[in-house]
Amino acid sequence: MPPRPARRWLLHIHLYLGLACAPYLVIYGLSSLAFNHGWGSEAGGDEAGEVTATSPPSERWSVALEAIAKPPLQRAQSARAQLGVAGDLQAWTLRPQADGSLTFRVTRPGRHYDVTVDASGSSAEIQATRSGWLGVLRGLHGLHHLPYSIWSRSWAFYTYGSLLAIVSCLASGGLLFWQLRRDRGLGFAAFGLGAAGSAAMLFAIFL
Amino acid sequence: MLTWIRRTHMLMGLALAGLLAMYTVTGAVMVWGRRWNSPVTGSVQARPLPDSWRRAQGDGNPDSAAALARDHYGLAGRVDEARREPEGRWHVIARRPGLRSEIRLDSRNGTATIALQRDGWARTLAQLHQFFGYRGHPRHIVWAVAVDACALALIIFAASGVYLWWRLKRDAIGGLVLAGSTLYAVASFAWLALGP
Repeated sequence: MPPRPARRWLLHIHLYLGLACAPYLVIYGLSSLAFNHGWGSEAGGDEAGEVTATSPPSERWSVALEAIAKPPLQRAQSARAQLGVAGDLQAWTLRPQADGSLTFRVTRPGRHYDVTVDASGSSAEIQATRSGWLGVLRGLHGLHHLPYSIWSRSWAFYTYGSLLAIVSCLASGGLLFWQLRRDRGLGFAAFGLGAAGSAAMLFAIFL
Repeated sequence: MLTWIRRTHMLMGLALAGLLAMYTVTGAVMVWGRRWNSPVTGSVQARPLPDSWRRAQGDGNPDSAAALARDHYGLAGRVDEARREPEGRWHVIARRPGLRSEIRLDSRNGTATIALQRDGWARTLAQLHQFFGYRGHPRHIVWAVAVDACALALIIFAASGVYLWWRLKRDAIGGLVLAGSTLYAVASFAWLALGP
């Protein structure tokens, strides 16, 4: 039987780090369900094959810009920097228009901005659309950085800390199980069946 | 009750450890491995179209086109798209992690053009992480059930862990840690959903 202080340390690590990452686990669990069932996806197709209509833009406004003469991507990046809109500039949405204007989209969890820079590059029109709490949930899944967002620095810290906590909980949980006498057989059976089932399913989807 | 919850917390973790580890690794590759060079290889081949298909053109049914692509030409993966195009042509796209298969069925000249795109290990892992949804072959449905099980497990870990702490210890340190983390998560969520 290992020394009691070691077990007490393992329990404290598992307990307090588990409490620290509990909300993070809930966010990831709920967002995973949303992805798997296509909840809150945008029009244009989603993973479950269902199409959900987008909401009408909730806000519209225009801003004067300092015009630059550069390729479309650099123009879009310059415009976004001047607008100070927080979010990821989705390069695949960049569309030079026939009249010389340029449209692109910037997204962040729960919201996206459709930006139209006029042909002269001296002004931009922004349409902001909210995607609701499901959009926030989906957007947070995997988010670790958001350009032009002070908040995202704290979220990155929270993400890395939670991941560290999860890995520590996995390790400490495994060690705590290893020290058990009771339920050890059941635990090994669960682990074995789970591993075999997971391997079989992985093999099947690669067919 | 406490024993049952503790046992559930433990057994669920052990049973799903493999899948959860897979999602951790593939998620990390998605987020931090974008710069990793992952070569893509492709091939294109043309094969004759069965006469029966040429005559019936699948009766205009996307499922027939998908079935032909899968059963006759051995297209691997899950059919994501099967659409009819002008002049008796069909376009079928199937995907599985690491492989994109595209087949164009042309009834006019009686050929099927099959294009395969194979991705490198980094993109394959990323696609494995994003492979979900209740559609496709029964084995894909089983996979979707496994994805749901992993998602529910995360929620159950958190809920059961908090419950066990509340019933067995309920100390100030744990309370502060939980309250702080929860407050930050809820505040972030609210700001993103409702804020300017």
